[in-house]
Amino acid sequence: MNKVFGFIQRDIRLALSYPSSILMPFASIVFTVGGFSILARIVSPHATFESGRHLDYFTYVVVNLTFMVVINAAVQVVSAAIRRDQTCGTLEPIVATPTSLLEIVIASAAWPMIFAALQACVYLACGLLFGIRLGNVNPALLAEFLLLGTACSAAVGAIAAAFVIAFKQPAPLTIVIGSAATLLTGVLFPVSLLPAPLQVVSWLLPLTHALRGLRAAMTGAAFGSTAPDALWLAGATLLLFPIALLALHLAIVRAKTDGSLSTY
Amino acid sequence: MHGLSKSFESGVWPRRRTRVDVLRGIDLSVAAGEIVGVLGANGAGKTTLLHAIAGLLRPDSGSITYNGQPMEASAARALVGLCSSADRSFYYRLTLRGNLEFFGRLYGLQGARLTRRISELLDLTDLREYENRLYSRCSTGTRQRLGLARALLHDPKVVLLDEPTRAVDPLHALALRAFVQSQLARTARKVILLATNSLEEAWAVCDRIVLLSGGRCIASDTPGGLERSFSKSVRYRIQLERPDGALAQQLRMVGTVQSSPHVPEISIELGTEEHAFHAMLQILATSGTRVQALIPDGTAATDVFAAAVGQ
Repeated sequence: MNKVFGFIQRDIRLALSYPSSILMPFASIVFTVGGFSILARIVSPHATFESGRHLDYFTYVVVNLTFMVVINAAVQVVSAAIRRDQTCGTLEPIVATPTSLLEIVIASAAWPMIFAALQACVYLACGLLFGIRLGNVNPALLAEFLLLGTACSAAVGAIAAAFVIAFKQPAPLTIVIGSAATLLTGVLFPVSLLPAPLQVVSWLLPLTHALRGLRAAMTGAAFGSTAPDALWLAGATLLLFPIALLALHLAIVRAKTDGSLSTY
Repeated sequence: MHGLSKSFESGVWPRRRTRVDVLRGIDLSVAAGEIVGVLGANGAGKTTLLHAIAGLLRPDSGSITYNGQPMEASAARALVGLCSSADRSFYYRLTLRGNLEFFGRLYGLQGARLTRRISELLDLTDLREYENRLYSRCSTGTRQRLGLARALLHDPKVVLLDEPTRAVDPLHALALRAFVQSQLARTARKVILLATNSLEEAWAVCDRIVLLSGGRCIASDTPGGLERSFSKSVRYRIQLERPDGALAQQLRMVGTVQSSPHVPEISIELGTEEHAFHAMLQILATSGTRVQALIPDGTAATDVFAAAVGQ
C-alpha cells in the first residue's frame, strides 16, 4: 500500500503543478451535460432507448458518459502513465527499485482511476441538476458491472502498456477502442441502430456490455436480466488478465534485453 | 561476476542489423569496502556493465553473485543503488524532496523513517537548501547530487556510481569523493563500483581500477600497479613549506626533477621500479625539510590510460 500511496502522492503533486489539468475536465463535463440536455429536447420523450425499460434520451446519454469515463480510463491510464515515465526517463529508475511489475501497473492506475471516478460523480451530479430521471438504482448490480467493466478494460489497458514498453508507441488497439467507443458501444445511441456488421464489432467491445449492465443497474433491473453481459465480461477478464500479465513480463524482458528501458 | 557478456543489435532495418559486442566475458570481483573504478573510452561498456549489475539489463551470458549467492534481477534491486549519470530520470515538476519521497516509498521506506532518511541524504549531498525547489529549476550538478541521494535511499550494500561528478563543481566533487571514500567504503563497508571518465577522480578515489576496452577487461590493478605495468615512469608533486634547492639536488639522484628557487614545490619523475619510490621517500625522510604533501601527478594516469587503451 505504501508504494501505491507513493504513486498517488506523486500523481496528485504532478497534477497540482498543472492546475488546469484538474479543472478543465470538470468544466468540460458541465458543458457536455448542458449541451445534451438541450439536444435531448429535440428527441421524442416517448422514444425507447433500452429494450424492456423506458429511458429518456438525456438520461440514457448521461448515464453512458458517466460510466464511459471510468471504464475507458481503465483502458488508457496504465499505458499513458508508462509512456509518460518513458519520456521523462523515470521508468528505468522505477524498474530499478524493488517494485514488482504488477505493483507498478496497479499503482500507476490508482490516481487516474480515482480522478475518473470523481469525473463520473460530477457527470451524475450535473445530470441530476439538468434533470436526468433515474429509477430505483440497484447498487449491487451497479457495483458488479463497475467491477467487471473496469477489470476487463484494465486487462486491455495492461496489454496496451506492454505494447508501449516494447514498441515505444501507444497500442493501435487502444487508439481504436478509445476513438470508436462513442460510436460503437451505444454511448450516444442504441447499438441496435448500427449496421449489422458493426453490431458484431460492438459486441466484441467490453464497454458495450459494461454500459448495458450499468444502465440496467441505474434503472433498477434485476441480476437475471443482465446475466449474458456479466458472463461476457467475466469470461473476457479471465481470458485477458493472464495474457496481459504475460505480455507485460515479455515486454520488460525485451526492453531489458535490448537495453531500451530508458529510450522512447 | 563471471564471464559477463552482452551484445546489442544496431541498425533499424532487420537486414542491415549487426550485433555489437559491448561486454565480452568480464570477470570481476569486488570486496566489501573496496572502491573499484571502471575506466574505458566512450562505448567501452562502462554503463552497460553497471546496468547489468543493477538488473536493468539482461546479460547474454555470465553470472553475477553477491556473497556467493546468484543475484537475480529482483534481488539485485534491493541490494543495489545505482547513481545514474542521466539527469533525465526525475520528475521535473516535483521538488527535490518530492522526488526523493516518491522513490523512497518504492524502496519500501515510509513515515518517520522516510522523512529522516531523506533529511540525512539531503545533508550528506548538501542539498538541504534546495529541498523545496522544483527539479526543473536545479542545475545539472545539483541534479547529479540528487541522483546520488536516490541511490543511497535504501542503504544498499552495492553502490554503482556512473560518472557521479561529471557535472558537479570542483568543491562538491571533492566533498563527494571524500564521502564515498570515508563513509561509504571505509565506514559502511559497501561494495562500490565507480564508472568515470575522470582519470584524476579514479586515481584519487579508487583502490583498484578496471580498464575496459572493446568490451574486454584489459587490466585490473591498483593505480600504482597500473602505472608500473603501463607507464615507464611515475610523476609526483612534492609540496614543501618553503623552496628547498638542496632537497631538489638530492632528489636528482633518483629521478628527473623540476624545481624553481621561488616555488615551494618539486616535481619528480621516477622509474616504475619500487626501489626508486623507496629511495625518494628515504631522501624526503632524512632531508629535514617539512613535506606538506606528496601527490601523484595526474599526467601519469593519462599515460597509463593512453598506453593501455591504445594497445
